[in-house]
Order: sequence, then C-alpha cells, then structure tokens
Amino acid sequence: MTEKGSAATLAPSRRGFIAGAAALGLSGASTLTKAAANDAAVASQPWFEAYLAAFNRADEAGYSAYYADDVQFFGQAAQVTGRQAVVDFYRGVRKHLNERVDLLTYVGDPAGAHALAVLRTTLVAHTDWPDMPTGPLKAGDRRESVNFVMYDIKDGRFTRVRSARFSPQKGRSA
Amino acid sequence: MTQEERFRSYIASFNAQDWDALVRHYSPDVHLVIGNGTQMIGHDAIVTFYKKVNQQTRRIIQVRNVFTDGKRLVAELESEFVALIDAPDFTSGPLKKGDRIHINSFALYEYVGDLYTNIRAAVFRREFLPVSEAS
Repeated sequence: MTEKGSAATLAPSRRGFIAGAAALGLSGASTLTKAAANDAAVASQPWFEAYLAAFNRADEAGYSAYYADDVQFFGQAAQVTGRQAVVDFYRGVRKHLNERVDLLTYVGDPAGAHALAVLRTTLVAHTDWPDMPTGPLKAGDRRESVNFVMYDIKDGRFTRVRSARFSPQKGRSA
Repeated sequence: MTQEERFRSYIASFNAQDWDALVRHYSPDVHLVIGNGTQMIGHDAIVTFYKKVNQQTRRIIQVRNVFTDGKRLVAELESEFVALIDAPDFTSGPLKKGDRIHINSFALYEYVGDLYTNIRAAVFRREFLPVSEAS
C-alpha cells in the first residue's frame, strides 16, 4: 500500500492534505474544500472536526494523515500500533457495519499536545458479525455508545489515542 | 490562581479528605457522574458518597495531566484505592481488606468562574489487585 503510506506520512495541514490527495490521484473541488478545513490550528475544534468528517466518510488518506507512524491506538474493539494497522482495523470493521462518530464535546489543549473528545459512536451492522469484539451483531442491529477519547498529539499528529467508555452501550436488535 | 492550579488544590482537598475545602470548588447544584455511572447532584450528595468511600478505602488521586480551553478543564487521573476493611458494598465492586484497585480515568469539568458545575468521568483502565495476590 505504497500510495497510502506516502499520503499518510504528510501532516494533516492544508498543504499536506492536498499533497496527499495528489499522491492518491484525487482531484476536484470537493477535495480542496475539505482540505481547507485543515487550515485550522492543531488541536483546535475545526482541526479535529475535519478529522472526524474524514473518518465518517471513510476517507482513509484523510483521517490517517492525523496519525503518527507509530500511533498507539486503544479503541473499544481493538488495540493496535501504527497508522496502517488502524486503517486496516477500520477497513475490516466497515466490512461488517457502518460506523458514525458524532462530536458531543471537545476540549483542545492550547499548547496543542492533547485533546479530549466526547464522542457518540453509532454502529449499524450490514452483515452478521458474531465475533464483533464488543459483542455479537446481526445484520440490522444498531448499537450506540458515548466515549471519552484522549488524544496525545505531537507535531500535529496523534501519537496515542485512548478511548474510555462513558455510557453503557445502548442498542436494539434487528 | 490558574484553573490548573485550582484543580490541583481541589484534588489535594480530596486526598486530604478536607470536605469543607472540597465543596468550595463546587456550584450549589453541581452535577457529578463518576466512572462507574454513579450520579450525584449537590454538595451533600458528593460529600456523603466520598465519606463512605474513605471509610472503606484509603484513596489517593494523582493528576497525570490537566489542561483547559478556558471553558472546560480536562484531567487524566490515576487513583489508587486500598481497602481498609472488608467492603462488600464498595461502589466499584466488593472488596476485602487489603485489596487494591488502580483506576486510570479521564475527567471533564465544566466551570463558571471558579466553580465546577458539571463533572463527568470515564474509566480508561481499571486494575483489581486482590490482597491474596499481593507480594
């Protein structure tokens, strides 16, 4: 995955995002419009919202540009190290379900070294997934949770991502 | 005093079990939700809850990190509870005298002026160290 690797080594700034889009052969006004959001200062809410927007549209180059090469990722369903490992994890997840993350509260460290986001995650399974790490899912099942996610940031990228469950999972079966 | 300094003073009050000093950091109708989902509203509810916790355990909180954006404050906390007595009704689950719990949590404080109005915490890591396995 050479292309993804080269795009992902770019910082999540406007210039980096555009260069990353070029490396992936992406073009067009929509990409540049999305990139403009990344003019925001590191750890500011607009900067973070651009990350979430990329994640929600499954824009792997866009969201993974926020990760350091050796990011430590402690999610609710997986603990992995490395940018590509995180992308691979979510790619696998999306084979089974649609995931949407909504920002409820955000606090960025003015020094740009940390951020805390309160996130509501909504999962809707489109296939049966009996081995889902946080509990089996059947196609059509919907699951919702609220998590506090702490981001350690260095040089404009996440070096560590840690998710702590705030609310119990709510959901309904199909 | 900066918000960060005020927060460290607040945690020092917790560790000293100085309830009068503690509640001076809260608005009268402060709303607190701790990592196990327990909700408390107001000074009396919080003090009553933590007095019981401190009768059952010795609790020390360390501040690993704290930052604020001017409206809210975030803290990463490490807490250690050591059971002083058998506590079958302890808030995080039954404890036997000598059992330990380590909790790494993220807490979010909303404040108005110098008073916390809304506090929520979520547990990132919880480690139970039973006395039977102590070295």
